[in-house]
Amino acid sequence: MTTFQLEKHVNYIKSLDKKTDFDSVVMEHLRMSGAYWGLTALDLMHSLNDMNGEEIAAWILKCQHDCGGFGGNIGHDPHILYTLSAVQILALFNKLHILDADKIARYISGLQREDGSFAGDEWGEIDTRFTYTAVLCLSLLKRLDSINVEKAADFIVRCRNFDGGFGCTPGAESHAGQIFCCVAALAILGALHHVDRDLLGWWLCERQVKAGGLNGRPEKLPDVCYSWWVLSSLVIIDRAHWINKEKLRDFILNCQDQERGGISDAPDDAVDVFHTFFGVGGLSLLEYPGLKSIDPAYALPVDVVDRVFYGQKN
Amino acid sequence: MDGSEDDNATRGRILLADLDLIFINDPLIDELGYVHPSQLVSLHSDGAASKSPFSEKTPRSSFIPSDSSNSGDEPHAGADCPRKSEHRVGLMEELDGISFDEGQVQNAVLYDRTAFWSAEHKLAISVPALAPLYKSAREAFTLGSAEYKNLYKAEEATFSNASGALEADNQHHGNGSLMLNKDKRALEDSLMTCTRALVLVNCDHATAWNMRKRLVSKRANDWDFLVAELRLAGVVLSCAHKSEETWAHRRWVILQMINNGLSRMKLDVILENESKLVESVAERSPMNYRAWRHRCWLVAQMSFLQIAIELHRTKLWASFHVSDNCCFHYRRTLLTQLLQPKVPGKAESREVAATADEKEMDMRGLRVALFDGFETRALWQEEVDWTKKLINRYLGREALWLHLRFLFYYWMLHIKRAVSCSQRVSLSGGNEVSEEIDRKCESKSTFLSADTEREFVSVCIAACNSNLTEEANKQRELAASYKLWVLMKGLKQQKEESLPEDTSLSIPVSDERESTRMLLNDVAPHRSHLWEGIISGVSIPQF
Repeated sequence: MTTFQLEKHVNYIKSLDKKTDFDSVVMEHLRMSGAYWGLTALDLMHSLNDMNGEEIAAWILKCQHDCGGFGGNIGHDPHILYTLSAVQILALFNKLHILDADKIARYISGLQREDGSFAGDEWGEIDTRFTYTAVLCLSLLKRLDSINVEKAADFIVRCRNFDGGFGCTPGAESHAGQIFCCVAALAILGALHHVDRDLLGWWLCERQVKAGGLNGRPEKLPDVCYSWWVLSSLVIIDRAHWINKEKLRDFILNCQDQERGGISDAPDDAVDVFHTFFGVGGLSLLEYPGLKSIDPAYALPVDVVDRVFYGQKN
Repeated sequence: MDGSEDDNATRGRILLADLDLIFINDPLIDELGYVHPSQLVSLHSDGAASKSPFSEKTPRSSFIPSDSSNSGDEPHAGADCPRKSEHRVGLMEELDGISFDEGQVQNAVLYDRTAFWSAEHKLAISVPALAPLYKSAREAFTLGSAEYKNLYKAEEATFSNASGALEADNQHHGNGSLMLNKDKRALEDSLMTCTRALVLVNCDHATAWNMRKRLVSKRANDWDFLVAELRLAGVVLSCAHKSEETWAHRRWVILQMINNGLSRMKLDVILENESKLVESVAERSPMNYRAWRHRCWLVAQMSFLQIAIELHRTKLWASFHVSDNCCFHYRRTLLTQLLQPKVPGKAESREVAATADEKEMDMRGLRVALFDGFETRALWQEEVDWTKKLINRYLGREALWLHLRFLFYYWMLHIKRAVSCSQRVSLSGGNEVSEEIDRKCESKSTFLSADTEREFVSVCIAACNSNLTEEANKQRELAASYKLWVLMKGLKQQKEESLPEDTSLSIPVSDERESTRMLLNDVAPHRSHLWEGIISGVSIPQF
C-alpha cells in the first residue's frame, strides 16, 4: 500500500509562500483562503509550530477593512469567504483575542437578507456557501446571536432538493460542496432535523465510484476535494459507514506526489494547496495514523475547536 | 531596479495601451484565447482566420517567462494609461529590439504583434505577454483605485479603507491636489481599461470586477454601457467557462437593467441571449455547475411562454448530452416552474420587472396558449416516456435515472392529487395526441405508479442481462436502485396521505423490500453497506 508522505507534504506547503511565479501572482486575490488551507493542513500534520504566527497575524490584520470584513489579500475588497478564513487562521494560532469580534459580527449580520440568506459582499450575490461562512465565523466568535438563526436555517431548507441534497440557491442542483456547507451550518445551528439522513446519505454514497474516489455530482469524475466535502457531510449525518473507507483512503494516497509532496485532484495530476488540504482533511476523517482529528463542521483540528469553546490547552 | 525590470515595466505599459487600442478598434470582441507564440505567428501570417483560432487552447502556465520581477518598487507605473497610438509609439521607442513596421499594419490598429492578434471579433493573447500585461494593469489599478477612493470618499461612505490602500495614499500624498483636478471621467476610463485587462488575465479578480460595478453603477442609465459590460463578461467566459465572479457579474448587470425598468420585450431578448450563452458554454464545458446555475437563475425572470420554449429547446440538447445532469436539472426547474400555479402553496411571486398589466398578460398568455391546452398529465407523461426511451437507448447513464427518480417522486407527492382526468381540458384542435391522451385517461390505467415502475425496472434489467459491459453493469445497478426509490417514495406517500392501503402496490411491502434487497446486493455488491443501511431503515407501516 502507498504510504502517506507527511514530511514531503509539510515541505511542499512551506515552499508555497516563497513562490513568485505568474500562476502564484494570479492567485493573489485568494491568498487568505490559500493560507487557511495550507496552515490547517500543517496543523493536522503537527507542523504548525514551524510557522511564524505573529507575522501571519500581522498580515491578516492588514487585510481587514473598516467595515470589519477581510479581503483575500492586502488591497483586495472584503468578502465573507476571506473573513472566515482570517478567523479560522487566527483560531489555529490561538489569537482570536486580537480581533474585534463585534465589528466582524456587524459586518456579517449586515450581509443577511430578509429571507435569511447571506450575500457574499456588498454586491449581493447569494449562495449557501455564504450562509455556512457566516454561521461558522460567528460561532467561532461566539456572536451567533447577532443574526437571525431561524431564518438562516429556513433559507438552507429552501435549498433542499428532491434527492435530499442541497444547492447554492433555492432550486439549484445538488452539489457535494454546497451540501457540506448546508449540513455543517445546520449542525452548528442545531437544526439537523431538517435533513433526511437516509435520503441524503444515499445520494452522498452514490458519489463513490468503483475505483474508490468520490465525485461531487452525478456523472463526474472522482476528485480528492470531495473526499472532504462528501465524507465530512456523511460524518455529520452519521452515515460514513455506508461507503468503502479503505478504497477512499487508497484513492487519496494515490493522488500524492511521492517525490515533491502535495496532493492533486486525481492520480498523476499537478498538486496544489487546495487539494493537499482536502486530501489531508479526508485522511484525518478516516482516522489515518499520525494525523490530528479534524472537526467535520468547523474544518479545523478538533483540539483547536475545543480550545475555542472550552479553553482547553494543547 | 535594473534595466531588464525597467524594460519589462515599459513593455507591460505598452501592452496595456495596446489592449485598449484593440478594444477601441473593435468594441465587439466576443472571444478570447491565450495562445503559444508560435500560434500567434501563424495567426498573423494566415490573415483573418475563417474559424475560431482557439480550438487548441494553450494553458496559461505552459509558457511563463522565467523573470517574474517584483514590481512593487516602481513608482507611478501605469498611472496614466496612454490612450492614443502616438503615446504608444513613444513608449515603444523606449524598448530595444521591437521593430515597428508601419506598412504592415496600414489598415489595422497599431499593436504589438508579438503579443496580440485580433480579427473578426476574436482576440488572442500570447502566453508570455500575460505576466507583464497583468503586472502593469495591477499597478495602474492600485494607483487608480487609490485616486478614486480619494475623489469619492465623501460620496461613498461605505467604501472601506484597506490599510494597503492607505499606504498608497500616503505615498502619493504630493499628488493630492493634482488628483482633485483630474477629470473624473478620465480616471474612470483609465480604471475601466486596467480592470478589463485584469479580468481578461485573471477572471476571478473580484476586486477588479467590483470596481467595474462601481463605475458601471454611475452610468447605469446608459443602456449601451450595460450591454458592453455583458459583452466583456462574455469575452472572459469564452476563455474561463467556470469563472464564478464573471457569472455573478453578469447577473449583477442584468439586475441593473431590470432595476432601470427595461421593457418586457427587451428583458425577453436579454434572457434568451443569456440562455443561448449558457448553451454554447455548456457545449464546450460539460456539467458546468456555475453556467447552469446561471441558466436556472434566469427562469425566475422568464415569462411562462419563455419557460415553455426553453423546455422545448433543451429537449434535443439533453438527448445529445445524456450524461449532463445539469441540463436535466434545468428541465426539472422548468417543469416545476410551469406547473407552479397548479401546485398548491407553490405560487411564489415572480421577480419579473413588469407592470401589473404585463404580469396579467403573462398569466393569461400561459393559461390560454400553453398550460390548460397542454395539460399537466400529458406534459408529465411526455417527459417520462422520453426519459425511458433515452434510458433504453443509453445504458448506465446516472443522469437519466435521476431524472426518472424526480419525475416519479414529483408526480406521486406533488401533482397526482392536484390533477385528475376529470379536471382535464382537452387540447384545442383534437389532434392525434389528444386522442391518445383521452384513450389513456379513459382506460383508467395510471401511467406512473409503483407497478408501472417495477415493471420498467424488470424489463430494463432483462434487456441487458447477458451484457457484461461496464455500462450494462451500471444500468442494472441504477435500475435496481430506482426500484428501491420507488419503494421508499411509495411508502412515504402512504405515510403522508395516511392511506390505510396503497392501491398502487400489488404485492406486500415486506416481500417487495426483500426482493429489492436481494436484487441490489446481486447487481451492486460493492455498495452493500449502503443498501443494508437504507433498507434496514425502511419501516413497514402497520395496519
